[in-house]
Amino acid sequence: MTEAALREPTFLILTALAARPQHGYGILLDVEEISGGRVKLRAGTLYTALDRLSADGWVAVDREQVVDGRLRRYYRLTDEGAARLETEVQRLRAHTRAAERRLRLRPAGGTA
Amino acid sequence: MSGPGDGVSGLERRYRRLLSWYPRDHRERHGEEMLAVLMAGAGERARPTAREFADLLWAAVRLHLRRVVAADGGVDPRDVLAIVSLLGPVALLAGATTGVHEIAWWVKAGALGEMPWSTQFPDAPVWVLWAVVAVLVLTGVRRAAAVFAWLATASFVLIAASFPFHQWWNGMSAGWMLTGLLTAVALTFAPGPARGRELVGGRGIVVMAGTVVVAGVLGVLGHGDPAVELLRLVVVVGGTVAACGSGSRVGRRAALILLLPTLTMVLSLAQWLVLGRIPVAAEVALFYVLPVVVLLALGGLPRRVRRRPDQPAT
Repeated sequence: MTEAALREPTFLILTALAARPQHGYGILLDVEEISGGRVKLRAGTLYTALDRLSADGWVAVDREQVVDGRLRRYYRLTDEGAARLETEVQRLRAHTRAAERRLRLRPAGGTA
Repeated sequence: MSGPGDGVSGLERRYRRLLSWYPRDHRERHGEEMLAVLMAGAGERARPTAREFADLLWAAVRLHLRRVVAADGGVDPRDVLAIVSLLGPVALLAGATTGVHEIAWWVKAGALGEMPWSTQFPDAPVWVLWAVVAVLVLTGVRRAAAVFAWLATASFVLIAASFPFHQWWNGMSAGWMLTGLLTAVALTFAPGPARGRELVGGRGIVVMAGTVVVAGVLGVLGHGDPAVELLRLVVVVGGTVAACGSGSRVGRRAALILLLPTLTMVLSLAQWLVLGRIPVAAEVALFYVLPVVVLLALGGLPRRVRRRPDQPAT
């Protein structure tokens, strides 16, 4: 069965965790950077997504720290999460290639 | 005038108030962590922004909804059925109340020997079989209990089919039938009464047995009295939920299965008030299909939902 496309916040959260474990605030900042400032996740949305992604087994808690008296929990991408992200990347790549091919076939100056 | 320190503590207090809307388990797992993230992103602000406020509240609603339908994987339906396999046979004995009331009436009249069993208490064999199942379950003889549970369920179908006035397709009969069937399924396929006992303890069995006895006595002595019937309803609902574990999501779902006869009775009243008589096929859908769909939606019966690896079922 074909898996449904990931929603953009999910894709960006998984991408933020792809290279290294990150804590919640780090994920928020990274998502903003990855999206070129276009997507600004908020804490409520982030933790709803993490709740779902943990239930799906795509992310897991890596470690915990206390910094300035506040709890900081790091999340990592699981192997299953990495495989899902890779599938999504392949899907997006295929779409991008198709779009590029068709744009190249477009007559110069438009179809007017 | 408030200083910067007051501003920060005021902001933290406001965030904490918003986080108090979140499900308890989520709050316990992520509350302090979320607060740290919110405070880190707040800068010099003294209040949450309107967007933050909306985002936090909407997230709380979504998390609650995920838990209602058990989409978070925090409910293991095998545990639900384990409790049902332990307490179901005991809870089902409450179904004999009307028949016991009949016996009491004939005993009082001094004419028990003349009682026409086939009309006054036609389903007596069913409840005798469930009593056997209850004894077998409580003494740890699971396989025999499962066999007798299927016999009891089949007997109920047979008797219902033999007596036209016994309308198995609606009202409380549908509830007894469903609970009996699910108890038989639970005894056959679920982890079993031993697991159920781990979850609810001996206290759960005592509370369930006490509930059935009190409900039975009220049903026999106060038969037909609306006030007593209402009290009986309260006893059955409260006792069943307490026996299964009101503080646990698994327990609450098990209680829902054991309370199916009560729920179908209420549904029956609602049907007569709102719809009146409806075709038998529609009644089967209302009294059998609807409860099963609701149980599936709430995660009370096995379905394809991932169990979250970092969270035990509750």
